[in-house]
Formats: sequence, structure tokens, C-alpha cells
Amino acid sequence: MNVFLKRLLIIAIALAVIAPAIYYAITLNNANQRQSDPLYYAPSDTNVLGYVNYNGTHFYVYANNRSYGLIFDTSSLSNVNFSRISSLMHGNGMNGSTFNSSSNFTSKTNISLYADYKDYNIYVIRNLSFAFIGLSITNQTLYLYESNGFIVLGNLNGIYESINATLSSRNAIGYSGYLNSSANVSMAVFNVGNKIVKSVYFNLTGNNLTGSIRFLNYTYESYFLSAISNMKGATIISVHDFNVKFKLDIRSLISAYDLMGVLNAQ
Amino acid sequence: MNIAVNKVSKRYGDIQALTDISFEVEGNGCLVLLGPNGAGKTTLMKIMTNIIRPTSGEVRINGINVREDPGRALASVGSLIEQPEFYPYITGYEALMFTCMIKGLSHERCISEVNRVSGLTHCRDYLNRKTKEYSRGMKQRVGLAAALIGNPDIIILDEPTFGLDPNGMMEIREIILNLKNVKLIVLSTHLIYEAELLADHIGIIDHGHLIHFGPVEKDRYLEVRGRIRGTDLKLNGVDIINRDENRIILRKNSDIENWEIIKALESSGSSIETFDYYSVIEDLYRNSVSHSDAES
Amino acid sequence: MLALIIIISGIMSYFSFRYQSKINTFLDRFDSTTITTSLKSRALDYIWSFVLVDIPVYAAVFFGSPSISSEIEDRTAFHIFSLPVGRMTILSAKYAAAYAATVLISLIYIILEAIITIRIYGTIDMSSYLLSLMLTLIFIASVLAFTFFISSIFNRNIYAYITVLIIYFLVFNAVDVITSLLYSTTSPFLLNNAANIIMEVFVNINLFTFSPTISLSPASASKIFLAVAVMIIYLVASLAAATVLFENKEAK
Repeated sequence: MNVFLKRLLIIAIALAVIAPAIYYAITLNNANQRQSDPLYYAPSDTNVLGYVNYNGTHFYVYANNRSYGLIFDTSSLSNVNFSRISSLMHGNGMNGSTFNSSSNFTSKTNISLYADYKDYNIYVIRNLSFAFIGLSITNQTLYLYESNGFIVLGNLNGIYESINATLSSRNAIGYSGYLNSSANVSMAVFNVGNKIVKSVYFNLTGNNLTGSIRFLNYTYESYFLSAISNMKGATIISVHDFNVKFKLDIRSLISAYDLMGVLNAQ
Repeated sequence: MNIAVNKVSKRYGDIQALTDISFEVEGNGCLVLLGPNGAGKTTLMKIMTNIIRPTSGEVRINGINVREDPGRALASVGSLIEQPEFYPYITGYEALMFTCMIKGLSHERCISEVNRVSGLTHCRDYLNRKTKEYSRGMKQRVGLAAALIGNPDIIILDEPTFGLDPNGMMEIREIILNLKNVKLIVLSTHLIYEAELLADHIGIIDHGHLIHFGPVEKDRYLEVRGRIRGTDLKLNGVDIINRDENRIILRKNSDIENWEIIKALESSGSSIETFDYYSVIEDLYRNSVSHSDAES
Repeated sequence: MLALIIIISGIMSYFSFRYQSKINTFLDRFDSTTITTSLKSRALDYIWSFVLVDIPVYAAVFFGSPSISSEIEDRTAFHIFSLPVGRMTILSAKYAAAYAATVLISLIYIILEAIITIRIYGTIDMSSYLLSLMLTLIFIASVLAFTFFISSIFNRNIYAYITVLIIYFLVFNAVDVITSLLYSTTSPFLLNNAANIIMEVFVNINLFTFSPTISLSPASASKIFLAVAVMIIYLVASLAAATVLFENKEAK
């Protein structure tokens, strides 16, 4: 066989194997990447998407009018480590002594297998009381499941929607640009469906809050601008059509409701 | 048995090692490639045995392109190129068996072949030693044995007597003289007397060019020394190549006997002191290489 | 090479017996109720595999790096190239021989791993073990092809040895660090990262990257397939390149 032809044949055969292998590898890698992105477990039709990073623990939150959930990366949990949750999931229940002393779970919490949904085991936590950054939950029943090193904790609808999101690939990965993972709290509220705002985004780092609101009309926008300009520690960064960007020192707020109260008053 | 070299050139970077070498040799006999060191003889032989690739041109052995189908082309070829080296951790016997089996012979046949060629090249005594222990001469003999294994029709030998003692050289030349009656041997040397002894065809290579190629008619050239008379000397059946007062070079163009030539010369008034075959190869070589030097 | 493997295997065996109890420390995130014997045996196999991942590399360098360059350096090519056998046949035969030698060396270690695990824990996770073995065999083929490719570039053994080691241990790790810093992710397309699957089939822990994974479950099927695909890419590309280069190799 001609030398040039032989060389061509070798290269052609190699490419015939390598090209599909590369395509397959890239596809697999992208799928794995998505699975290691926490937003893979949040449904795409969520209205609220948030990221919280506090004291070494970070998680994502999603919510709409019927469901909500918290997504924990198990390797990032500090107060409640994976082993405890694993023992929660694989045991029949436990008492307070199985927790470490800094745990936020109370001794009456009971966890058991609730249901099998599309090959995922859903567990139910009854009588859960939890305190975190000023928020407290008492005697709640929450549900959770674990997948690929992530734990999703929420109401039952939230769990179902999370599982459906992973299976149908209709997840919130595309919204990751709305969140700032270097902030302590980053929140995105969109598709709000009320008459005042279309979307709200804010990032909180330390005491500094930067946000952006898209109003639905100039009236509410002007109310907001008026309120902000009267607040100590607040600055308008830019106003463009219905979009307002602002900066705020949260120490100037007496409570989280101050801003809402000012808006309502307006 | 046929080797055809067609416009073979070889370039190493800026160095043109071979330029448009073309020749064809057929049937049994011995083609000697003669030339000074660095002329390109070994390069040409490496191309003929697929050790290196020509930059352009091709070599065909029995009509098969060596580069495109080396398996078939070299199936009937045995070769010894440069100084032979074998895997150091095997014995000479294993090296010969390996060579034999690669050529497709059965195990039993290989045993008898190894026995035969090792007897021919007188390397039997040290075949059970590892090749890393061999001297240059030992490797040369085992290399020659490897070239002869399988009874190939064509044998390509690059300075086969290199590194051998005088007895060894004589033995190898004897082997070649015997083999060339039934095989086609291509041999390279820079020793003129070796070429004179062995060549049926001669190719003179210098600076990568084939400056002479043709059959050697050793028995046809005669050199007569003495007092050469007769300016109009004409001899039937003989061409006068060169003459002066004391020497005449003749080429027989018929079946004239040597004594007839002597008689004719004496009749013309010449007195003969010596009468011998003329080393045409040496003459050819000197003329060719000196012309080549002048041109370059 | 054989002596080296025996020494390494001996050291690992000693450590396995001597520091059995440390397996619990290694798994100390878990209650004793969840640390099963099967999990401990997998953890031990994970630690053995941590060393196993590099053994084929050294063996491949030893057997594969001089495969082609030595023919030129030792001048045995003058004899071999002039024989009536195609270059591809020569290459295939050398590859097969080097593969067999590397597998044999690695099997000594792998079999001892199984023996020690069964001896200590009385059980072994056979599916993970066989999967790890199969992945090791694929990895050997892949890294050997890579060394053959490097060997076909050079005419001297020492250059081939050094280049393979530099590329595998230096260049791949450097690229890994850079992609991790830039993209916060471990590139799975590097052969050394793909090789980590050999240990991750026991326990999916990889702490030596910028995006560590910690899971006591074995690696997922998609991760295994991805690693195999990467190894096959290296195998085919390297062999094709080695073949083309070797076809044109000259013994000057």
C-alpha cells in the first residue's frame, strides 16, 4: 500500500475512534459538572433563589408559592456533619446524644424513611426545631433526600420538584449568574407576579447590601427612590428606566421589615 | 533475482547524501559498490533494505517496492548493514533463531539452518554466549550468518570483511565467491583488490553520485610491459586502450588467446617483459573519482 | 522492576496489618453503627489503590519508554528494520510484550491487595475490586501507548524516560492546577486524573484536587465511563501517533 495512503488510513481510523470518544467524554463531563452544581437540584420554575454563607456553612435556597427547599453540599456542612445526617437517614431514629454539642437539632427530632419516589429515598424529619441567623423553626416536619453528595431539605412539594428537576434537567443552573457566591447572602426574586416589582436581586456581605429592583411602573419606583433617599446609610447607585440599583448599610435598618414598612407607608 | 534502483535521492537536512542514483542488476553474480568513505554506499544499502527512506525515488526488489511492501520485498533478502548489533541479553544462537523464524521458517528448519550458517561463518564456538560479550569480529561473523540464514536469493553486505582478521577476510571472500554463482550479491567496499576479486558488476559512487556502473570484464583487459614497438601496431581481435613506449593496455573483443597476442606483439618488434591482467577496476576508480573531484 | 514491586507490596502489607485500627480514624466521620466491615475493606483497598495508580506508570516507563528509542540507540534497528516484517507488526509485538510485562508486574500488587484485605477483614467487595482491576488494565494500555508515542519521537532512551516522567508528573499536574485555579474544577481529561478512578471505585474520595470529593459511596457510573473514555482517547491517539512516527523511523 502506498505510504501516504497507509498514513491516512491510520489517522482516519484513529479519528473515527477518538472523535466520538471525545464527544462522549465532554457530554458525560458536562452532565457530571451539572450534577455537582447545587442549582442542579433546584427547579427551574422557582421564584426565589438564594445563597447563604454563614459561619462556614453555606447552602442554596429555592422557593415558589407552593414549595421550598434548602440545598446543602455535604462537604461544606460544619455544624451538622454528614455522618449525622447519614445516621439519621440510615437509622430508625435517634436521641439528642447522637448529635454534637453545637448541633442545632433538638432532642425530640425523629427521622425515618417516608417514601420512595422515582428511585430516590425521601426521609421525613418530624418535630424539627432549628435556629439559624435569627430565623427559627419550631416543631416542623420537613422532608429530605440525598444525591451525589448533596442534601435537599424542604417541604414535600419542594422535594418532589427538586427530584423532578434532576430527572428532567429543568433546573436552575441557568440562574447561577444571578447569585454571587462570594457574598454572605445573595438572593434573587423573579417572576414575582405582583403589581409592584418584576424582580429583586440583592447581595449582602458583612453589613453592606447591594441590590437591584426592577419595578413595573414609575409610580412604585418613585416611591422607592423617595424612601431610599430618606434613609440613613442608603445610596442610589443608578436608575435606568424601571431598574434601580442601590446600596445600603443594614445597620441603618431597625429590623428586616423597616424597608417594607417604609414602602408600605409610601 | 532483480534489484532496480530508480532515481533514488537522499537528503539529510542540508546534506545531499545521494543524488538520482539509478541502476538495475539481474541474475546471479556480485555487484560491488566501490567508493571512498562517505560516498553514500551505506546510505544506498540502507535504502535498499528499508532501514532508511529515500527522499525521492524507489527501490524495487524482484519488482516489489521496498518501502511500500517491505515484508514481501525483503522476504528473499539477507543483509548485513554497518556493524551488526543484536539484543545484548540474548545469545548468538537465539539471535539467529529469531532471525530465522521471522523469515517464516519452522523451528526445526531453523535449527538446521542455524547449524549450517554458523558452520559456514565459523561462529559456532561462541553462539551460546550473550551477544553483549562479543567482540567486533564475532558480531561480524554472526551478522553474516544472520544474512545467510534462510538461504536468501539476494544478499546485501556492507563491508562484510570489516573487523575480521586476515583469515576471516579470506574465509568471507571464499564464501562470497562460492555464493555468487547462485545468488545475487550486492557488496560495498572501499578496497579495490576486494572489488577486483569479487565483482561481476561495479558501481562507483562518489559524493552521492553514481559515476560509473557496468559489468566488469576482468579477463578481457591485459597490461603488457616491455619495449613496445610499432606506431601502427594493429592487432586483430584486440582493442588498444592505452600505449606508450613501455606499456600497452589491451582489451580483447574476441576469443583470441593470450599467446596469440604475445606472438603478434613480438612479431611487430616489441619485446615483452611482463604480461598480466589489467586492474580495470582500479583504473576506473581512479579516473572516475578524480574526474568527480575535478568537477566538484 | 519486580524487586521494586515486591518491596512496595511488602511495605503496604506491613502497613495494612500494623495500622489496621487507623482505618477507623480514616473513616472517623461515621458512627460505628455505619462503619461496616465491607466499608472498612473498601477503605483499605482504596488506600492500596492510591499507590496502585502510579505503579503502571513506572512500569510503563520501564518497559515502554525504551521500546523504540533503544532500537536506534543500540543500533539493533539495522538488523530489525531489514527483516521481512512490517513496522506495524514490530510495533504491535513490542506493545504486546510491554503490556504483558506491565500487567504481570501490576497483578502481583493487585493480587496481594486482595489477599491482605481478605486476611484482615475476611471479606472483599468483589465487584469494586474487579472493576478496579479492569480499569487498571485499561489504564496500563493507555499509559503504555503514551510511553510508546514518546519513545517513537526520540532516538535515545534517556530522553524518552525523562520526557514521559516530566509530562506525566509535572505537566499534567501543572495543567491540573491551572485549570483548577481558573475554572474551579478538576479537569477529567488529564490521564493522571482519569487514573484516579482506579481508587475511586472503592470510595469516592479525592482530596488532592481543588474541588475535592468526599463520599463513601463508590464513584458513579458516569464518572467511570468518563474516565474510561479519556483513557481510550489517550490509547488510540498515542498508538496512532506512534505508528505513524515509527513507520518513518530511520536508523541513521
